[in-house]
Amino acid sequence: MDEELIQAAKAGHKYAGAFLISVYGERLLGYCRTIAPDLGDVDRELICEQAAEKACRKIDEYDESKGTLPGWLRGFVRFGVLNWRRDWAARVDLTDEADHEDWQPRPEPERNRSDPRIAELAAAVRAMPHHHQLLIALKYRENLPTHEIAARLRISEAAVRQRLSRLTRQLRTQVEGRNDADLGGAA
Amino acid sequence: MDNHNHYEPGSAEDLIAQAMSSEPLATALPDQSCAACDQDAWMDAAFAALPASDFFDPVVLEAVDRLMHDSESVTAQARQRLVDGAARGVRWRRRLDNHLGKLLRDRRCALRLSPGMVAAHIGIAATLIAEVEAGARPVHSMTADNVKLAPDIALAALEDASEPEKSASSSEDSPPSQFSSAVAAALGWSHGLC
Repeated sequence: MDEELIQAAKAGHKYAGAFLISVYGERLLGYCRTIAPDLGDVDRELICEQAAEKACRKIDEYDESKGTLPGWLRGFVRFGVLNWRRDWAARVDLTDEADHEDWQPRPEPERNRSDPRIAELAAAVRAMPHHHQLLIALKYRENLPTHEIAARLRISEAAVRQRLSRLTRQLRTQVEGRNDADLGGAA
Repeated sequence: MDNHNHYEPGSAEDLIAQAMSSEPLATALPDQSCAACDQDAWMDAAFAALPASDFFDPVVLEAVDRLMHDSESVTAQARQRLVDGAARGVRWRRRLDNHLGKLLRDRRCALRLSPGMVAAHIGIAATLIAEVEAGARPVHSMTADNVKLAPDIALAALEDASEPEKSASSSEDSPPSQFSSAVAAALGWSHGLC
């Protein structure tokens, strides 16, 4: 069905939009609620609406060898949420200024894909056992809070925290050598 | 690790069961709160910088999809909003294709070339060129290389857009296939969402 959906969107068929939403609309909204429970329904709907539009525009960029279609679609929701938060933070900052100029949304931050540490990180993750990769993916790729990970895996939140703490430390050590450097400060 | 579940070894279900069962009694040590992993901005950015497949094995991504089964009931109004958004995206693609087809035809006519001559030059069927120009087939049915080989055209613009630094940056972009965004940028289309 995904293949049919992708082809319809690529070909620009009028029904492609409704097709996409009939298959993935509920999941996109559900995911948005999971990663942004603090937002209102209207904001989440707006984020998902924009995610659907952007996904249809870029459908020819979807590469099944690089991930699943649902995973690719969730990425648009994630970035929508991040943009929403960035814009919201910018508005809050502006309210503190006496003379705020015309507000413009912030550009998406540059991501330095050539940072060699990212390739090292990817290699370190791929070398992990699959069940460890799963935890890392849920935390850092899907941006799930720890209590959500715990609920989905039906284990305690404390266990999730402990495992993530250990795995993250392990990754840091591998990426930064044995120094366990603070990656956050170096970013 | 012992694997006592009844799923096929190596499957997504098996993997989820392993994640559920491993170290079930683990408790957080006092000095192991997850403040660091909750706040690690570099890690977040790093994992967003590359495709998921660069970090995780396919079975892991399949397991993630199985666990990410969130869904919520959608009101008719919300559903319509989403459909409208998706339809806008589809229309945008259609307009892009129509626009490029016309540009191709105009440029070919200006150069007094027949579809057959262009087809021979760039190595595709003449019927495909005619269909693309008529808007009957999307431009992306020609490969980007084919399009670039066509006599200058809008396609000087395409070449211009193919410069990586001019392409829209998004973690979901895959370098070989930024076709739509690149063409839209080359044509100077405003597309606020990108």
